[in-house]
Amino acid sequence: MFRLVRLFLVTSAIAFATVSAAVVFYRQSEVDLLIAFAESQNVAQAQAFANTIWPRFSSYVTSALDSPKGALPARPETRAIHEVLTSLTAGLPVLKVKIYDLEGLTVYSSEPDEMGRYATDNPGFIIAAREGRPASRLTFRNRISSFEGTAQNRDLVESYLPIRQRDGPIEGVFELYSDVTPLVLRIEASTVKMAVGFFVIFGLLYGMLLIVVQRADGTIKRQYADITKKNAALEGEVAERKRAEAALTEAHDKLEQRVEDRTRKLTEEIAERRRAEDNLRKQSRAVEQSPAMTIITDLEGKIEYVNPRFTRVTGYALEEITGKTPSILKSGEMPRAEYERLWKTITAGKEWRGEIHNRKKNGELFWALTSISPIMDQRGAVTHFLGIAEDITQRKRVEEDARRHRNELAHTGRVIVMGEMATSLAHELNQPLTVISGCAQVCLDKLRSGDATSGEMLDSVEQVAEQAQRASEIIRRTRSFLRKEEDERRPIDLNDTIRGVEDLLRVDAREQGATIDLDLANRLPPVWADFIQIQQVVLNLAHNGMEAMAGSDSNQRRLTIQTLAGEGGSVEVAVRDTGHGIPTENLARVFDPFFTTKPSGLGMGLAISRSIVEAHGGRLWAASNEGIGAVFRFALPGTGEPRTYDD
Amino acid sequence: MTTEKTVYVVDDDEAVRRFLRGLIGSIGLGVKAYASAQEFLDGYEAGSPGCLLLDIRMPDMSGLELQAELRRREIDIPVIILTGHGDVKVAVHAMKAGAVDFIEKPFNNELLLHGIQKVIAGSLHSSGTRVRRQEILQRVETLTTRERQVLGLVAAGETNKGVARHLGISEKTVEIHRANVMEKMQAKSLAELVKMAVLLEVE
Repeated sequence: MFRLVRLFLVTSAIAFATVSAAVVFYRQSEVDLLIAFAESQNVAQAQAFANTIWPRFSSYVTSALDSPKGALPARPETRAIHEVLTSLTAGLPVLKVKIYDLEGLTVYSSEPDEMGRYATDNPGFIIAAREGRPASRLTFRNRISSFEGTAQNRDLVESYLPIRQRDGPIEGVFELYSDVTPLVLRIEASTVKMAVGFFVIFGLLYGMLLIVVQRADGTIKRQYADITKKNAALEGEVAERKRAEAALTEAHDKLEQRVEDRTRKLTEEIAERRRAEDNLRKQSRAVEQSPAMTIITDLEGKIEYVNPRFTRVTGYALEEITGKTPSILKSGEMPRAEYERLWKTITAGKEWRGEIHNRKKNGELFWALTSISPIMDQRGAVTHFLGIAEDITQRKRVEEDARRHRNELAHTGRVIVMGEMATSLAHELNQPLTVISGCAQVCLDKLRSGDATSGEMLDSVEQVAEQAQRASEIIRRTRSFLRKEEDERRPIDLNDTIRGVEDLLRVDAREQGATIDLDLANRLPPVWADFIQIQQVVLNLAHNGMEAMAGSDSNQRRLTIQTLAGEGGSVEVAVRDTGHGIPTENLARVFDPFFTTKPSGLGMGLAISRSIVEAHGGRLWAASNEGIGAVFRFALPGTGEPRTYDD
Repeated sequence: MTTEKTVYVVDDDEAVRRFLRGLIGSIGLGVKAYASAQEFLDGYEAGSPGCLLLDIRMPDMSGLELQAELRRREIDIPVIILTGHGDVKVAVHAMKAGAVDFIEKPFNNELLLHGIQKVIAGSLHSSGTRVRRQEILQRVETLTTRERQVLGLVAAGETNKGVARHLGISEKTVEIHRANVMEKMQAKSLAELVKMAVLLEVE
């Protein structure tokens, strides 16, 4: 804050100081003037005294040095000097006179006590004695003894004055004390007047100015305070407003953020909902358009929804079937236990899959490959059941046809093999027939001749019975092999399969003059297959092998049938012969239908064998045996592997 | 080496062996039965008299192969071949390889025993053969050209069908020719006819 009054007072003080200084200066110059005046008077008076005194007393002065100190006042010269001077100073303001020789010895003083003292070091004396010019100063004495008694409170001009004889050298020094008290008093008085005048004028001036300044200061202060207050208020207001603005901005920002957030969320929600709707529409459309029948039921099994495909297949429209249970489709051909199992599975929260034989509205039956699964809500509670079924009637029919064809083909294959083995079989039957016929003749002969003993008869008849049994067994085996059976797949042990066909193989081997070795693995995993068809394949491969060996040396005609467990539960069968082998260029062609190298062959055996093996999900291939002959191998997948439906 | 004449039976069928042992034994002949050609070769003492009744179809070594082996070992024993029904071709083979007779299974007991006895008696190896050959040649003279052709083919083991194909005539006609041949040659069976043909080496 600008301190006007203080500044003013300081300025005033400086002004007063300046004025005081001016007054002091004035007084000093007056005093100096006074001293100069008094000095000139003293010079003149001293000269006058000197003129008077010096011719008479200069010798004294110069001799005074040699006289004893205390003796000076008593010397007559001093008395004479004193008397001259007393007379000379009468009426003059000279109060005291001292005379010094050049050595500074006070040879005379109007105060006798001071005679004999030295003023050698006195500056005034030095100036006067050595430089030859007067030196004066103003002094104040409370008491001073003068020629006319003792004076009190006197202002004195004290002058040291050199004394010369005309223009001669300095011979001594006079010290005069002239009374200037009235002058000083006048100077004092004029000084006081001036000072008072100054002070009064200045005092008044400054007093008025002070008032003005104070007023102004007051006004300024008030205004300042006012402004400050207003400013503060304004600042407060501004701050308040700023705060409010900031709050507003913040609120606004927040609002904007929220709006933005909400907008984004809404956009997302909308997008999500749209996606969901899209999905729902797509899914709904998918269900509507699905080539699979779709049924949704409630927990009691009452139908809530069926898709158009369901209506197309079964003939039941959604309106007429809603609220009913799928048992309306029951054909009665499925066992009750299976329905119970189904219900148990889905109520346990699992999926049931299977083929169901159903009945349409018009009474027709159809096969449905069905999957029924529970629909759960978010908490995992079952709310509905979803059934998806595919009409596989056509497929089953095609499969059935294919299977029948395959069976017929397989049967044809068996007939062909048996045909090729007919001679062997005939010979095999010939053995028991030979014995039967022979024994019968023996019996007849004995009976006719009448010497039959029951022991001999018994032996023959026993042989007949045994051999008849044997013949019928061969025929039974042949018939069972040739039987036109349905393809019946079950887990079988290929070792059993091969052992079951061993008799027929041996019949063939004997016919071909070959030996058969069975090299069967100790334990084989079961394979999913039709017993007879696999026997057929084995028989076919063995028969081929033996025919291939027809040209070989008979003790080298050796056919080996080997079984071994393959990877992943599969089983491999290898049929090795020691025949002429297969030329490399024919290795792939031997399975082609009607490909044959035998004069009497149809070329169907291997083609049919391969189709049988492949229908079992396996494969059949040929290779050259190591060294001699050929080896045919086939592998069937284990029961662990999925069944194949291909043809 | 025994001088007792023995009938050696080689047949892989146990039932047939058992029956033959009984049957041949019943007429007082010694019988030794073997299940395979090798067993016979191992068990037979070279030079032992008798005859060999040999089944032609056997695993390992067939009857024909045994015949060859006997020739190789210079074992001279008359061989009667036992064949299955209709195995004419093989029979012809065996006859040409030196078999003295062949008999079809199932056989007539008496015919078999008679055949064995004849072989044991050595009649087939005797001069009787030449006499018989003359007789047979006279009978062949009575055959027509066609009938001779049929005889040749049948004796070579061809079936009626095969003969018909060869001659470019019907099967029916072949049957008639064949019946005439059988009658003119006085053959009671196909085996007999083949035997006669082999004897004459009718080609």
